[in-house]
Amino acid sequence: MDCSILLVDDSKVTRKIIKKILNELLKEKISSFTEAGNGVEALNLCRQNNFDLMFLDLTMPEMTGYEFLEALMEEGIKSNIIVLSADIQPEAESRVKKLGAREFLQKPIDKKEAINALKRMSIL
Amino acid sequence: MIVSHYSEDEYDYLKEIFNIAMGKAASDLAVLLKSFVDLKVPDIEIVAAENVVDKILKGSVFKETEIITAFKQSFHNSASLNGVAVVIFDNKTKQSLSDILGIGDTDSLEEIDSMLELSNMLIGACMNSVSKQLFTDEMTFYPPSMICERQELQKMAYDVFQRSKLEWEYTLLAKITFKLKDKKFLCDLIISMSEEAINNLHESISKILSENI
Repeated sequence: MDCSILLVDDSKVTRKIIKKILNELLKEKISSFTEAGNGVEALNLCRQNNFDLMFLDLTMPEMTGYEFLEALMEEGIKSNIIVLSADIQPEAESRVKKLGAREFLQKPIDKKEAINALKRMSIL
Repeated sequence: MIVSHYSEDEYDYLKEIFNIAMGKAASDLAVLLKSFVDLKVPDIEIVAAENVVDKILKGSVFKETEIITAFKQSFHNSASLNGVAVVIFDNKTKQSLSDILGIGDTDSLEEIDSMLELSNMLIGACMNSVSKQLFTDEMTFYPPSMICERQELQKMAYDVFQRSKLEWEYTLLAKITFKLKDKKFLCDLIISMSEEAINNLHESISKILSENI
């Protein structure tokens, strides 16, 4: 499987860390990495490309992760979305899952949690 | 004291540390108040002492003339991560706290007691998270106290943060706003950390980044 991946996070360092972990886990399965620093950039990218996997932050400037998920839903754009967020309020996970995210991970990213999420999504 | 220079990645990671800390404090607040906190990206900056008041007034969710009640609490850990945190509530939040907390009619003393407890909880959750992420140990906190009741924001800012009141040439200034989605609750958490803390945070972040990216 050639996996195109979109990393959406306002933290460049977090994007680097996720990228490093995914490179270790998925190796040759990855066809491309694309990065966005907020929901607006990500939405524009999603309108032009089909991504097989997304890692999505929730607290971002311009457009939050919640607003991005709502926009994807409105436009009928589907993808395998893993939310990776510092927003760990009890309601956060159920909210993003209602908006189409498949997995919810807490920041900072834990490699074992990421492996489990990717396995549940049959990507690993 | 000479203050460490943060590279772009180090500064980015510092913001993530506070982002995670804000998330922990928001989660505790959401559980306590049975609500949902609309989170914004926290503001983090190293600021010269003479500019602190200006930064606080311009960055606050409240207007300079807003009538506020504020509390402060000092903290430190074994790695010399020390500073002071201030929580600022507007008058609408003060007046609606008894409804939000579901404790019926309250007098002014009980309102203040509730705000003091909330301040203690927000500061504790946030600063313990920062400490545990970078230094693995918890913070030690001095008892929280009220700075002012029903006073203009600008007066409180000058009383607490004007140049002559600060011991440091530079401070790491963080501002986090907590706003409930469906209730009249709004407050700013302002954290001011020492030059020694800036340098120790830098050392720890630099080490973590060298191991992880």
